[in-house]
Amino acid sequence: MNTGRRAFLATLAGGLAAPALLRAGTAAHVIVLGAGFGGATVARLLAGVPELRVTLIERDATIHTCPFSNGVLGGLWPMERIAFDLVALGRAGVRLIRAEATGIDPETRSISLADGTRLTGDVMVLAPGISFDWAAIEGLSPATAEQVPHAWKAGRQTEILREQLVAMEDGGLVVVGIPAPPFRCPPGPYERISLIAHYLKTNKPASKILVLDAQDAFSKQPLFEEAWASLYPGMIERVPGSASGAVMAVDAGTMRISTGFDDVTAAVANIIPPQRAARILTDAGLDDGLGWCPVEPVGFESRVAPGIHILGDAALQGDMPKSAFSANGQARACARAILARLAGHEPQGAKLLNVCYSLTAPDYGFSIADVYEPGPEKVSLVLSEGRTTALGASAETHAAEAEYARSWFDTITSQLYG
Amino acid sequence: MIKPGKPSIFIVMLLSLPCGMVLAGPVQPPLPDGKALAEACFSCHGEGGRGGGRIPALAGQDMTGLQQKMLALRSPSPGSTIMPRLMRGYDTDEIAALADYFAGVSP
Ligand SMILES: Cc1cc2nc3c(=O)[nH]c(=O)nc-3n(C[C@H](O)[C@H](O)[C@H](O)COP(=O)(O)OP(=O)(O)OC[C@H]3O[C@@H](n4cnc5c(N)ncnc54)[C@H](O)[C@@H]3O)c2cc1C
Repeated sequence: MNTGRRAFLATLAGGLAAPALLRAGTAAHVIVLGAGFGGATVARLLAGVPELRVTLIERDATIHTCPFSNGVLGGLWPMERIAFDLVALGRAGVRLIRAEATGIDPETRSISLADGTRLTGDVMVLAPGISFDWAAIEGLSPATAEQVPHAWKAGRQTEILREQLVAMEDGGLVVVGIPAPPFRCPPGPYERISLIAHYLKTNKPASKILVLDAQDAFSKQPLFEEAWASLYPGMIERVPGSASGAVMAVDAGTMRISTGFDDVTAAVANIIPPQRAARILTDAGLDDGLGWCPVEPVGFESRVAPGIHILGDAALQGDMPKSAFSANGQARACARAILARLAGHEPQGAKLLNVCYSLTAPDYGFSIADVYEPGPEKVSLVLSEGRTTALGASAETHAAEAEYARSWFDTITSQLYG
Repeated sequence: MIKPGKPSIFIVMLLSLPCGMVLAGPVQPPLPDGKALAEACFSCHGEGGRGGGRIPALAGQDMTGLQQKMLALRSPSPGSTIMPRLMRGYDTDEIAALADYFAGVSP
């Protein structure tokens, strides 16, 4: 390797800030893992930069987004609404590799694929999302998830849960099990409960939903409870963590769901297991034993391995929730940091946003909307008061927020996959 | 092919370095990076603020008008939803930088 190229790579990796970094002659190789909200954003932004070669590794040919998957469960729209291919990313200049990544070597910045291929990058961006902690709930496993779906990674799991709801008789009991935090999308389970209730009210009004929750309080709780009381009175019962709500065991054969306190038999059970960073990251030690991967708050570079950026749900960055909106903003900041290093500058932080809309019915939406700033140690929430839609908001406000939610989803997915 | 030691115009454009970094004298603190701030808005307002579905476009609008709108949006008014909650998180310099950036994008 010639000196120029070495300096260039060291600079990209954050080692040096030499202006001579562009003497390399060959394009630097950026490897991106995961074509979800974090990975697809970064790949799309960096594709076409002449100094870079971008490779994107993704196991699935079709991405099914978790955002708007609750709408599929509620019958608001079909699966196609959340299905996207990666053709546009390829057209934008990203080299796509459809494969399962099996291992990461942080030292050499290389990644192994299921077929034995090994790719080495000058910079790595890892956004593989979450893994489930199956062992935390007795009787739950990838195999039993065929009968007791989590639907917390969208796709076939979403279809299974939807099919079960459609096949259920009127008067059936739907059990939703919610894990202790942190998990992806803090308001997601409660949006799901709402949209399942919408489906049941419309099609199977004698049915009930029992929520077995490891949490006591939850995201946008007053707004959800206000909506449930007005839209679905008597349909939803919730057992919080302090009343032993956490699901401890599942028997997929008999559909018995057990908490530390009680057993119920479900017609349909949607049990969401506890979560941590994707296994491939924890196996590589990138979580530093914490279960989530610590990163710095400007370019989301790993605190464990220089030159490796970790985005989205897997990252331990501070106060931002594990949302698609956050992953997208982090990815934009990461792309800026990579380009800044390429040009020989120190990356500068800028404020970030998160907006999470929740739908409780087709025309009833509300939101949490926050500004974040990269501090010296972590990403910090700027204002901790008045973050959500007000209680008692008008029907017009809820309809407008539902409309904006749909608009956000269509815009972000067209930016990534369109 | 890349010219030795010189970032391509492409990178310079993508980075769009804050003008403060180039222009500010020794007494003036650098202005915030409008492009970097604005990127947080793109998933709703469209790439470059060129509009997205039901969310209004910001690109190419008059700088002062945009700035005034954003300052006014810090307090809720009838019909407002998320914008007052977001705008109160930005100081006047940041709002100026945002307005300056969006005003400079061709719609
Ligand atoms: C029901 C539900 C509703 C939600 N609603 C919203 C919402 O309305 N708004 C919002 O902002 N967020 C929402 N979220 C959260 C959002 O889905 C996540 O925060 C977001 O997907 C995180 O992006 P990511 O890039 O970290 O991971 P992901 O989007 O999960 O992407 C990871 C990608 O990596 C791939 N991958 C992983 N491991 C490997 C491997 N070893 N080899 C190859 N490929 C691999 C996966 O196939 C996947 O495509 C919701 C989540 C759920 C579950």
